[in-house]
Amino acid sequence: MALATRPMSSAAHAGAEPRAGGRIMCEALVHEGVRVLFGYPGGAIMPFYDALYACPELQHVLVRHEQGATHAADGFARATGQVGVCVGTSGPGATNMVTGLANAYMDSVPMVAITGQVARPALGKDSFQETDVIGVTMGVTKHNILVEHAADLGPAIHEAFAIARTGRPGPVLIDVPKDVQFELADYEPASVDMPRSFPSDTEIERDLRRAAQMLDTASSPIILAGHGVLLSRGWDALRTLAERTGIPVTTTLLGLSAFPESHPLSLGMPGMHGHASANHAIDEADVIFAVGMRFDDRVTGKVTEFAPRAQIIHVDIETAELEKVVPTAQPIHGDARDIMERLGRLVRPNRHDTWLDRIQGWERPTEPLQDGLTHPAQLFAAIKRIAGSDATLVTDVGQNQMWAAQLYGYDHPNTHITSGGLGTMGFALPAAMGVQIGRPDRQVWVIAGDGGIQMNIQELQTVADLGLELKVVIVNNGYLGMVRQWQSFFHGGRYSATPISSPNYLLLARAYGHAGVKVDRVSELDEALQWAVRTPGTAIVDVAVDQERNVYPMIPSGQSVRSMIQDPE
Amino acid sequence: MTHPALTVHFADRTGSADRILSLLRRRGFPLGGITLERTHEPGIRRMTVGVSQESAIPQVRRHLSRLPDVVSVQVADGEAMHREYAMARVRCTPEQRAEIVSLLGAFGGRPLSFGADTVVLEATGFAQQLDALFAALQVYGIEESARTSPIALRQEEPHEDSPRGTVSERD
Ligand SMILES: Cc1ncc(C[n+]2csc(CCOP(=O)(O)OP(=O)(O)O)c2C)c(N)n1
Ligand SMILES: [Mg+2]
Repeated sequence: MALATRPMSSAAHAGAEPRAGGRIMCEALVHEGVRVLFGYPGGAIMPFYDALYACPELQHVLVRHEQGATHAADGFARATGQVGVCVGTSGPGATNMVTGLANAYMDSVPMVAITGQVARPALGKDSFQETDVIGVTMGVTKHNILVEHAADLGPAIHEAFAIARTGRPGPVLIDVPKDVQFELADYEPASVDMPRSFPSDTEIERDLRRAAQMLDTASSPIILAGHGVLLSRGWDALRTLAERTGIPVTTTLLGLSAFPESHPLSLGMPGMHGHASANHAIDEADVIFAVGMRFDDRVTGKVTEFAPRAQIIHVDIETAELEKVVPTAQPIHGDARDIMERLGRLVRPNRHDTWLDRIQGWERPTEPLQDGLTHPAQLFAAIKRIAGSDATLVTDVGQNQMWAAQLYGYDHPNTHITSGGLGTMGFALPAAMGVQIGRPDRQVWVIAGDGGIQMNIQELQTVADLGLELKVVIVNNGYLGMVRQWQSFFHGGRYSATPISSPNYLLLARAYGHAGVKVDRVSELDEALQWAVRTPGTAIVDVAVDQERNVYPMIPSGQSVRSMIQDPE
Repeated sequence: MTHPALTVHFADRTGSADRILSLLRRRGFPLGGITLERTHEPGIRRMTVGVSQESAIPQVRRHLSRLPDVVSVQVADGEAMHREYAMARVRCTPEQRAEIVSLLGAFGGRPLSFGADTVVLEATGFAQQLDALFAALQVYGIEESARTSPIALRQEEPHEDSPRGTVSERD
C-alpha cells in the first residue's frame, strides 16, 4: 500500500538534508503561508514545477496567459490582505508578466512573482528565451532579486515576502536560473523582519496633537481617504474618526468602500470624474485630513489650484509620498489605521452641520431615467439591488469603471477592486478569479467594457476549470468609450480607432461552458441580473448602453473644479 | 561647482547599483555627478550622488531610502570634503617637463610617467582646483583626460537625524 501514502508534507522535511532548489522554493512558499499560486510553466521553470507536483500544500492555478496570473495574484492579495503569488517561465513568460507587476506596483499590492531564468552558464548570451527580467522589471517592482545559488533561494524568498508586505506593499520579483532550481542546498525556514523606521513616539505624539488641534478648530474640514485605509484595514478607525469629529469623508477611486457611501458623512469620490460635491468641498475646505492617498493627478487636477484654502494634514506610510505633490502643513509618517486610531482618541467630539448643508447644495439632483437602453445609473442601481450586500465589484478600465465608481454606492469594506494607478484594461476578469479564490463565500461581480473584456477573455476557460461563480457584466457601448469621450471633447469628435466590435457574447459564454444573457432594453435588466445570480457557475450579462454616453462630471486633465463639465441632459 | 551630495551605502548585490541609478533616472531628479565607490566593509558599496538643486535633497533621499538594498543615505553638506580624481595625458616636450611638474605641484597633482613628448599625470582636489589645473594644462595640449565626479566624506559621523524617518537605518 505504499502508493496510497500521501507525499509527506514538504514542510515536515525542512532542514533534513540538502534538496533541490525547486523543492526549496516550494518549502519556502509553504512556510510563508502560501496556499495558491497562479502560473504557467515553461522550460526555464520546469524544475520548480516538478517539485510542485509533489507539494500538496500548494494549489497551482493554470491560467491561460501570464498576464492573467499576475492580475489573479493581485486580486487575491487585495481580497485577502495576503501576498499574492504568480509564476512564469523565462523570456516571453516573464515579459507577459510585466503589465501585472506594473499594475500591482502602482496600486501598492503585495505580490511575489517568480520567474524561471536560463541556466547560469547561458546568462548574458542571448540564449533561447533569455530576457534580462531584472533589468526589464526594475522600474515596475518594489524590489527584484536574481538568485544565483540554491543556498540563497530560501532567504531570497523570505526576504521577498517581507519586502512585499512591509510598509507600503508592492510586488517583488524573484528570478531563478534553471540550474539553480536543480542545484542541491540546505534550507532552514526563516522569518525575515524588515527593519522599519518610524519617527519616535514623541515626534508622532507631537504631530498628532497638532493634527488634532487643526481638526478641532477647522470650520470646513474634510477627510480624503485612499487605498492606504483599505491596505491597513483601517475602515473602523476611519469611521470612528469621522463620526467623532463630524467631518465628511471623500474616498479616492482606490479608497472606495473604505467608508460606507450610505453614511450621511460620505461625499463619494473626488477627482476627474468624481462627485461634484466632493470636488467643491475640497475646493472650499479649510483643513484636509488626507490619509493613505498620494495626490494622484486624477485627484488633484491642476495642483496649484487644488484645495487652495486648505491646510493639509497628510498621513502616509511612505515618506517619499509626503510633500511629493502638495505642500503639507502637517505630514505624519505612519500606518493609516494606527494614526487614525490614535488621532480618534485626541480629537474632540464635534459637528459641522452648516458645512454639511453647504456641501449638500452642490449635489445635483439625479436626472429622471427614461425607458429604452439601460442608463448606467439604472445598471448600477440594479446590480446593487440584486447583488448580495457584501458582493465585491471588480471593475475594469474606462467609462464602465467610472460609472461603477460613481453610481454603485459601496457600503462594505474592500468590496470595490479596480486598477487605479495603471488603468490596465483586461484587469477585471483575471483579478476577479483571484478575488473569488481568496473569498470563496462572497459574490464576485466583474464589470468590464466591451473593449476591456476582450483583453483577457481567455481566462474564461480558467474560470471554467476552477468552477468559479463570477457574474460578468459587460457594459457594451460599441466603443472604447472613454477614449471616444476624449475624442468627442478634445479632438473634434474624430472617432479614430475607437469603434470596436464584439463577438456574440452569448455564444462565447457557451463555448467556455458558461451561461449568458443579453440585455437590450432596461426593462429586461432586473430579470437578467436575477437570472445571473440564480444561475450556478459563471454568467455573462451583456448590457447594451447608449453608444455615445459620456461620463459626467468631468474635470479635464490638468484643470480645476472651475472647469468641471456637467451632464448637459 | 561642487553640488551638495548624498552618500549612499548599499549592499553589493546583483543589480543593486542599477536599481539606484534607474530610480534616479526614472524620477527625473536634478543630479550632478555620480560616483560609485568601494568601502572597507565587505559587501557594502557606496555612491556619492550630487544633487544640483538643494531643495530636491529630501525627496531624493526619501526615495533612495525606500530601496531594500540601501543601508543608509546621508547628506554630505558644507562640512563634508568633496574630492575628485583625474588623470590626463598632456603634450610635454622634454624641455617643458620641469615646468609642468611644478605646475602640477601647485594644484595637487603629480606626473606618473613621461613619454617622448607627453606626460601622464594624476591629480586630486575639489572641483574648482581641478578646473583650474585643466585650464592651465590646456595651454600645453591635453590629448586625453579622465575625471571622476566627486566623492564626499564627512568629518563627523552624522548624528541621529531622522527628520520624519527619512533616513532608514538598517543593519
Ligand atoms: C491596456 C490598455 N490599453 C489602452 C488603454 C487606454 N484606454 C483607456 S480607457 C479605454 C477604453 C476602454 O473601452 P471599453 O473597455 O469598451 O470601456 P468603456 O470606456 O467603453 O466603458 C482605453 C482604450 C488602457 N487603459 N489600457
Ligand atoms: Mg466600451
